[in-house]
This record gives sequence, C-alpha cells and structure tokens, in this order.
Amino acid sequence: MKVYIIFYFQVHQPFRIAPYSFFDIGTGKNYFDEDLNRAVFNKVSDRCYIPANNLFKELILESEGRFKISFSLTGTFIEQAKLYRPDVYQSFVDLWQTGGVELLSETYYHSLASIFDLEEFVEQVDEHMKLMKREFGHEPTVFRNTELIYFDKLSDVLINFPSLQTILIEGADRILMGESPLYPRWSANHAHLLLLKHYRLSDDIAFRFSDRSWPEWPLTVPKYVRWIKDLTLAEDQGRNLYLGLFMDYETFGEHQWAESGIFEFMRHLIKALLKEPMIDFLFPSEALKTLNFTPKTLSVPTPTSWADTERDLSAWLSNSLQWNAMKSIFELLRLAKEKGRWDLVPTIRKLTTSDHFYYMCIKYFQDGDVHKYFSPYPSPEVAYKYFLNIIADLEEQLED
Amino acid sequence: MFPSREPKLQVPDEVISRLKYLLLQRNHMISKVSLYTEKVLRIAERLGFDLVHAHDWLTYPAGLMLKKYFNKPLVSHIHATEFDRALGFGHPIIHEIEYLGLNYADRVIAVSRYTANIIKEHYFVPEEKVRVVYNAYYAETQSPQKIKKFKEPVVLFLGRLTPQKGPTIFLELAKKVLERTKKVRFLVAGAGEMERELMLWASSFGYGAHIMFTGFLKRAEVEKALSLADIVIMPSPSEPFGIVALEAMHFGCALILSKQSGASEIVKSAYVVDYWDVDKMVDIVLELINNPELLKAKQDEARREVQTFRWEDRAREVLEVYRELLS
Repeated sequence: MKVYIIFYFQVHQPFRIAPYSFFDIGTGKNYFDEDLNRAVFNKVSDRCYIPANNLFKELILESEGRFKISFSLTGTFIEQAKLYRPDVYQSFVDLWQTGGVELLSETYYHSLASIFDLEEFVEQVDEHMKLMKREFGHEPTVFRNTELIYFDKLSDVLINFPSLQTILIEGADRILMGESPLYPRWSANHAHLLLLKHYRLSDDIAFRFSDRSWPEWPLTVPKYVRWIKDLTLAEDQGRNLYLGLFMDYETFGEHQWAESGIFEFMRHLIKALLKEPMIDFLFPSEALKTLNFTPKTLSVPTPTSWADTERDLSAWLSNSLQWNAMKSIFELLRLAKEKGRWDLVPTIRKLTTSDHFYYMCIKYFQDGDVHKYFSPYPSPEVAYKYFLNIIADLEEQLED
Repeated sequence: MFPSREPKLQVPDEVISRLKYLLLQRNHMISKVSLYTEKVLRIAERLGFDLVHAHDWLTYPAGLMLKKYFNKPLVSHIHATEFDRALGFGHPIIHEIEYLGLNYADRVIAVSRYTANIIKEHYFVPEEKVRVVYNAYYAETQSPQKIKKFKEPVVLFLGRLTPQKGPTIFLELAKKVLERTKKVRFLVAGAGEMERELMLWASSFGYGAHIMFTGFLKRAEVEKALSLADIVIMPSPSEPFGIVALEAMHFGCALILSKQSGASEIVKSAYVVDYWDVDKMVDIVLELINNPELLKAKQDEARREVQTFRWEDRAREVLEVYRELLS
C-alpha cells in the first residue's frame, strides 16, 4: 500500500479588457489593457513563476526524478509569457525538460465553453492540444477543465480525444456523499479515470497557509506530513491512496507571499516526504497504471468546480450580468465562425476566458473577498459595461 | 426701477418662528439651508431691492424672512415639488417649507400647468396667485449633425437612475420592442441609486448588447449621446418640466414624452403618452424605426420647434409677474 501524492498546478493569465467606454465603440481602440496585462505578468513572474520554477527544478533534480509535479498551462498564459517575459517561458521549458513535469490538456482560452457550446469546447481543447505539441512536443493524456468544472457529459464529449484517459475533478462533498476523495473513480460512462482533489489538504496550503486566524497556524512540515500519514489509518484493505493536491500556481509567492515562508515550507515538505517509504509522488497519468483495486463509478449530473465555497458555477454564472455577457460572447463567436470572420475569432475567444465573468460576480464583492482581490475593475457593473461595449463594437464589425 | 409697494399678504410672526424652528432640525440638508438663509439675510442688509424671487424650497425660508423683515413682495418659483422627487409623500419638513413658501408668497410661478395643478391640489395654493412660465432652451451651438454609431437606430434614456425618471418603464419598453425586432439599440445614460437593480433586470432579458448602460456622463458626453440617439424617451411618472426634452430636440432626436411631464404641454412635435402606457410607446418606437422617412421628419420638426422656445419670451412673462406686484 502506498500513498501517492499528485501535485497539479494551474498556470493561467487572462487578457484583461481595457476601460472601454460606450464612446470608444467604433474608434478602433484596443479591447485589451496591454499595460495592465504586462504589469500583472511582470509582478507574478517575479513573485511566483521564476522563484517557484527554480525551487521545483532544484527539487526534481536533487530527487533524481522521484519528485514530480504536473502543470496545466493555458494558451493565453503562453501567449503572454512569449510576449512579455520570454525568460519565464524559457524557465517553464527548462523545467519541462527535467522530465519531472507532466503537462495537462485543457481549453486554450481557459473558458466556460463546456457549459455554453460543446462544439466550441472541442475546438478549444484541440487548439490547446496542438499548442502542447508545438511548444513541448507533448501529447497530453490527462485533462482538466477550466476551474475543475466537471459533469458527466464532459467525459462523453472528451471521447473525441482518444489520447485522453484521465480527468482531474474537484472532490466536492455533494458528489462524494461522505466517501473519500483518495480513491480514483470511473466516470459514469467508464471512459475516463477521475482523480479527485483533496480540497482540505490542498486548501490548507493554497488558502490557509498564512491565515493567522486559522487554529492550525503556523503550518509546519511535521504537522502536514503527519496529516498525510494519518490518511492511511482509515484504509484497511491495502488499497493505494491518491492524494490530489491541486491549486493555482500563484499560491507560491503571489497568494501566499514569500515572506509567509511558503517557499521554505515547500522545500522542506518535499524533502521530508521523499524520506517516507510509504509515500511516492506520481504524475496524474500514472494513476491508471498503479491502481491495485477496481474503482467505483461516480456520476456527476450537474457541474462542480473548485471555486468558492459553493464549488459550482456560481462564481461565473450567479447573476444575470454574467449570464447575458457569456451567452452573448458565445453567440457572437458562432456568428463569426458562420460568417467566416476568422480574423475576429481569436479575439472573441480571448473574451470567453472565465476571468471576465468572475469580475462581474456580485455575491462576494466585499472588501477583502477573493473576487474583489482578483478584479482590476472598481465594481462588477463597471466590468459588465466595458464587456458589453466591446461586444457592441464586435457586432458592428461583424455586420460589415 | 419700479415704485416700491407693500405686499398685501403679510407673513405672520408664527410663520417666521416656525421656520426658525424647522431650520434647527438635525438634518444634513436642512442645516445647509439654515446656513444659506443666514448668509442671504446678511447680504440683503447691504443691498437695495424691490422684490424677492425665490426658487424651490431650499430658498423659501430666506424668501419668507426677507419678505417679512424688509416688507417686500415675494415671488416663489416652483421647479419641482417634494411630491415629484419622492413620487408621493417625502420629507415632512420639506413639505412644510414648500407649503409655507408657496402660501405666503404674493405670486407663485410654476414651470408647467402640471406643477401648478400639484401645488393647487396638495398645498391649496389659490389659483389666482399662480402663473405658469415654461422653461426654454438656449442653444450654445448650431444644431449638430447626427452621428451614426451603429447600423441600428438608437433609443436613449437620459437622466438620473431614480424612480422619478421612470428608467424601469424604459427597460420594459426596450424588452417589448426587442421581442419584436433586434434592429435597434437601447441606451441608458446616467447614474443613480437604481443602477445595479436596472442592470440586473435588463441583462436578465438576455438581449446582449442591445441594452447598454453608459454610467455617469460628463457634459460633452451628454451631447455626444444626444447626437447619436435617434429617439429620446422621457417616461417620468412625475416631471415638473423636463428640460432634457428640449435639449434632445436641439440635437435632432424624435421624442416620446410622458403625459405626466410639463414639457409635454408645449412640445407639439413629440409623441405624448401616459407613462404607464408602455404598449403605446412600443407601437410608436416600432413605427419610427420601421419608417426612416417618418423618423427623419420627426427629428427635423423637433429641431425647428425648439427654436421657438426662447428664454427672452419667458423673461418677459416673469417681468409681467413683477409688474403686477410693483406697479
């Protein structure tokens, strides 16, 4: 019996839109705020991407390949890395070349196409597959949808991609019904193996690490290692356990600042875990080969995600502003494709990125809430107005 | 200029002490009015004047005190009542000040027959004291060319997003028109406490960018918005005058005005509809957008008509009121 730790980090940057007023419609103004996007990219590069890549590269090389991680790099991230920070792009290539990294498949634009337009979803996954092939010579076998959104139908649609065998999903309480997220499951159609996020242990690092009001603060390496070893206590049939620690890559240095000790914590945690004989690191794709039991089947009729405490779609689709904006952009995309306006399609696709709708969320827009923390706009209404003005401008162009 | 004459109607001492009491109430706006009143009285001591002309409740306490202390006639001008602002009963102190300011004035000027009726009905101001002097429009520029921003016609709501201006009626209209045709865009221009509520409601129709919101507009942007609008709708449930109507005419917009507005009493080129009669407004909008010649004719008519609303004429009417009191 083994405890397998599967690290997966999401690496994504959206093309944030500019303050695009009603009177900017028809003026040819750039939809995207390049200065802002460059500034954010630089900030996150210096705080997170560069130091975190250096740390993980060092750990992979020192462990001679026993330490492993996986990344999902969005298309919009790679575009921005090449545009604004070629050194960051190169640093990911170097990390990939250590052999200690697995790259996952997702939608190129980090969109919610799976909810609105399944044809478009397939096209965006395909575009990302091609990107992985082109940039890294890699054909992914593991899929993660935007924000870990998953529902049964998604597995059906992904049969279009025969190389995909495994899907990462959120270990949400309402689908597990009290059962453990440590055992992979079969999708309802038995086409894919589902690996579940262990949200408590993931969020202990991603959200709570520097939270001084958390009773477990400060989180120390021995404590966290003990929590992981304690997971085996409930297992009496010798089944392997698969601990999915899934989080945003920005956890390291951006959400948890370097001053909080997050980098030192990770360095010592990995070294401590490598000394444990029961514990190994695993690529997500290796789960299938190491199973020593027959997984149960899991049906997820309505979408789950890793966002907010609801772990559903409400971060992007809980008010009519979000719904109207998202519905309109997918309608526009369909129209552009019908009219053969391929010049406009990449731009419209950048507007399908989930972040635009996250900024329009009203439910948690209080000071200090995560939605507000991530939003470059003063209010959800302002984000909506800019977005709609851009849609109007695109509609005008499409009528030509 | 005029021979001075004592006003016939005196302001009793009790009214002055009541006003002083009201101005002591702890309320941000009332305390501003109190400061203003003191300043006006101090300045008045150094001025020679024959008549006092006070505009709306904010200035009525000063007007009544000047009338009392200097024994000069008072003209109370009413641009909007608390009933219009609150769409019903509003702040009791403001109502009381309006009551006193209108009833102890020698003449009352209302900006419309609509407002004259409100003050007669709710404040019991005797008809013979009331004169109606409408607003007018002074064009600083030549009537500008229309700007074509969209291929579809643009229907505009311009005003604060408050119940008084009827933005929900505008959205109901937009929804009903868009159910019939998508070849039109609706624009809500302005800011106000109802913004979030209105945006949530409008977006729930799912008509994409066919209903848009601009947020607060600066002066130059207001003019741009009027230049690109084809039709302006003023659906106010209670609007003493509505000068935006005249502005829209200058910028060549076809107009739909609520019958519950002062402007609708004088603008002949506008469609006048009860504010609640959304279906009728829908028919008019559809007729205009399906019939470009009619729309153009209505717009040209508006441009011409607005030139007849001259402040010079209104000034003469006000002068006439002064003469009644002073000759």
